[in-house]
Amino acid sequence: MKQRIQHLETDVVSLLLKTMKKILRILFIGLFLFFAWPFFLYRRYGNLAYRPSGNTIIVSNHYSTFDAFFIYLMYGKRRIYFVTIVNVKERCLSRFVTWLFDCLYLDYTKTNYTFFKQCISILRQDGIICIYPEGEINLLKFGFLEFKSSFLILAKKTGASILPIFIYPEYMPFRRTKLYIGDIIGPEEYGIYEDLDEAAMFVQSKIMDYSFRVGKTKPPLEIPGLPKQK
Amino acid sequence: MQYTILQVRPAEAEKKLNALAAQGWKVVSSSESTWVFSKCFGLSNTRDSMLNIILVKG
Repeated sequence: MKQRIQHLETDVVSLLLKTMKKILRILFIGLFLFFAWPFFLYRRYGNLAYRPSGNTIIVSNHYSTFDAFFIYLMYGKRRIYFVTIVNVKERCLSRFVTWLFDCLYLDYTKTNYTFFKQCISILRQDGIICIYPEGEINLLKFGFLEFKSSFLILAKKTGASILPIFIYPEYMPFRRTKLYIGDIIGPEEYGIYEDLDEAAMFVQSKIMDYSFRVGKTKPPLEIPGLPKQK
Repeated sequence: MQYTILQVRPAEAEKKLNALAAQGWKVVSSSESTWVFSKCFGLSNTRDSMLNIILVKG
């Protein structure tokens, strides 16, 4: 009987904490949008009718810190778990924000068994994970770093579908950030590739194609060897 | 013709470029950026490098 009461207590406490977190998140986003809304205007292209359903891994390029925020604004009605590196815990504000947005922490220096376990259990419960396979922010805001293949381990293990998105952020107010939502890549498409690196490059080449469709292909700096583009 | 840049580590570059070539990407040119990290007051140095590959499609 005592055990049952204890279980009930822990359930009630965890439910309360979850609700408080949700309220805090809504307040945080509300305040953020109220004071800085001109910076968070965006335009969507591509697969506009898509709504996340079932286990999905959202894969995107990473040009800005706020990429995750835009994905949250688009698909925030469903719970999305964002993957981030463990170093964000070093600073108070980033630690608080990542806690608020249900982030999963990845440590490059360790084997990350717990991270993979968490991701697999989320995907098996029809959850959504958002991951940036480049592993770091591409400050050049042009081109791509190589995609790491760990998201494909998760996808192959759980049979999740992959949603590729290209994000081109605008840092100036009243200029819309561009988001190209790609077509869903199902297990039957990436499953063809036995080699994970090849499969990762297949997903990456799709996102590279989308960058052309959005029309943001001009480099911000003059890069030697690159022809001048109109 | 549209161009983009891909930055990859030299060890896996060939494999990744073959995968991209299968998707219709062609290599225009490539260059290598190298850094040397000094540790222990310069007694131990480690090198790191990245290939900057310009790709074209269309």
